[in-house]
Amino acid sequence: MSENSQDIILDVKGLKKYFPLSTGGVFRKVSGYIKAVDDVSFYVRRGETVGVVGESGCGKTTLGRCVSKLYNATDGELSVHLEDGTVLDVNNLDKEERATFRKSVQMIFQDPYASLNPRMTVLNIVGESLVVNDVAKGTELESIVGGIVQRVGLKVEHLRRYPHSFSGGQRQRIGIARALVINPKLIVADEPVSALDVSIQAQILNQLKDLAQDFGLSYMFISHNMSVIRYMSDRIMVMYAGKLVEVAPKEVLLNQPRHPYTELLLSAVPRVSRRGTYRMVTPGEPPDLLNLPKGCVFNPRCKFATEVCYEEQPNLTQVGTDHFVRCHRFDEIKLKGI
Amino acid sequence: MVEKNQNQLLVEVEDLKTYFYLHEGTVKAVDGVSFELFKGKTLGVIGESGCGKSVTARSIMQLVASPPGKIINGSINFHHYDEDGKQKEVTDILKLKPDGKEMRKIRWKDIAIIFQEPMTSMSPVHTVFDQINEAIRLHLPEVSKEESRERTIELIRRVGIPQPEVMVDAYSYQLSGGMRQRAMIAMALSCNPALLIADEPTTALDVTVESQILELIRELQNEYNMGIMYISHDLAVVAEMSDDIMVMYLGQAVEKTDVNTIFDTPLHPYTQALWRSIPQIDGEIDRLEPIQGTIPSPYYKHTGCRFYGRCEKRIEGVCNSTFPELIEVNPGHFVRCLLYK
Repeated sequence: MSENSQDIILDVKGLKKYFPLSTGGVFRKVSGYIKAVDDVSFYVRRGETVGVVGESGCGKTTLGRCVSKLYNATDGELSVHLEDGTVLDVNNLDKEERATFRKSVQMIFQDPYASLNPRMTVLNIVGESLVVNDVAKGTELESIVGGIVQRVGLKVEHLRRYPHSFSGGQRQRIGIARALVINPKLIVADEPVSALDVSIQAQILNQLKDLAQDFGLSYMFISHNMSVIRYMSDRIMVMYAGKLVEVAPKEVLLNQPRHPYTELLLSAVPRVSRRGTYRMVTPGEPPDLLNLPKGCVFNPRCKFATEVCYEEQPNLTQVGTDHFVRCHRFDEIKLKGI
Repeated sequence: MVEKNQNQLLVEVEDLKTYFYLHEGTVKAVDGVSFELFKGKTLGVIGESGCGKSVTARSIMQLVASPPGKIINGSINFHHYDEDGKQKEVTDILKLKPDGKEMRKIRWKDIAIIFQEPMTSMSPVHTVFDQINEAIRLHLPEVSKEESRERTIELIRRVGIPQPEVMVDAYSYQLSGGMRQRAMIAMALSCNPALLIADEPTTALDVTVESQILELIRELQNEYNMGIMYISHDLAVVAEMSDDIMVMYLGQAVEKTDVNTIFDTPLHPYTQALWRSIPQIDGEIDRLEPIQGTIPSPYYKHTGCRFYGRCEKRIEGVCNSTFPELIEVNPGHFVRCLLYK
């Protein structure tokens, strides 16, 4: 699924992450699987932000953790292509490659209160990866950390302080500094502004945008908030019940979606311009991953579902430049964008 | 049956002040807030953390934890109407004892509230039926147990819970987030309240489920001609749900007007800055303009306007020394800002 492979930094093919369910007891027999991420393929180019959007159970957070190797994938290929030509096979890294990986791919988390060690100073939190990876120490480390901390909008005086003395927005900046200090090329940002006040969100979002430009970063930007995704992304991936259902450049996805779920999602997003008007609402909820329907996972809620949709799972098909959709009827149905 | 198109005055909140007396200082959570709620109409209340919107709601229900909280000022006049729409009496809620019989009669029967986290506002050890039945039997003692069960089943059918005859005996953990919120709405409606307070009811829900709940609330408002106070930090949701909007900042109303005016011609610098700092799904995709600075500490003692430190239109020497009153700049459009006199 790779196009122009030279400028691709992350290539994911058929990624699966299944969580086994055991019946408990002494023998712990596996009774089934939660298919949190099921056969997801996509790519991220250098310098671009791919937004990953979806509702509960869609698998976007699990996907992000597989990419940043917080989880080991159950199956599939995950490769990181560095500028010097090195290709890291993320599921099969040797010790040295693991170190290189850690310096190339970093993560920013949602909860600024839980993701910082309360017993470490800002200097230690941000500088830890430099120490662990033998990049710098002592005064040199402090100088690098001081620089990156100012770059995210904090002050050098903050280095000696502990997380509890900072606001949510500031803590998030510390998290961003921590991710950036090692000079990664790809950052997985998992709902980085969801826990922040609305007036602070804008500060962090703009910060992330500027840093991407200045440092040539790629983001995998995960969020449930379609408006934030629209603001941040170059391309958008829509996930549902563990599956990738559509991926397209932003304007195309928003204005000419090809998957019924994308259309549903877009129509459900509240908007100021729609004040005082009623809108059509589709019943149903995201499915229980333990009880997925046969055929296409979206068929219980899809107004276009026909026989084949209840029998077979659709494949991911290319319908345009960088545009892929997973739907049996993609060439028969006409959908509305925003 | 009350005439569906009547928008009678339901609640008048006048100069409400609710303070919290803590070790670190006094938090003036609600500091002089006035507004009105009408039958069949929705007042949206927007604001960020610390603006006092939730405490305002709880004050109306007299659910403020006391100590350390205390409603130290104001009146909340609730207008009772009989079935033909004729005004019966007016009660000042704040004159009632919070845990007294009178207040308990009003709470849930006249005014109901739904919260953000349905998981924590429902008892985990009682079924849906138990909880709704309790409200019905308490407020409508003439209703028999069988009738109450029937009413409950009808209610949860009305709010869109599938298989209501089965789900009526479910526990809250057996329901999904959306279903739980529907059950909460059923609970809130069980005694046909005249006023519904919704405090961030959809914030914890998926957006497609949220749209269903919003639709449900609107339908129910039409059916019951309920007044609604809809609290949220989500601009777009409040825009879709409200007839009028009140923007709050640090315990005070800074702007109040109808929904169209507040989005088309906002006057308060905070409102204007807020609209520019929030990403939207449609419209021009300009660069977001964050509001400079951060929300001050709740213990900070302000002289003059509370938004001074973050206001790009501030006038030094004026805005930080004189306290702005809420004035009617245009008919029906109230602003608390010294730029408008």
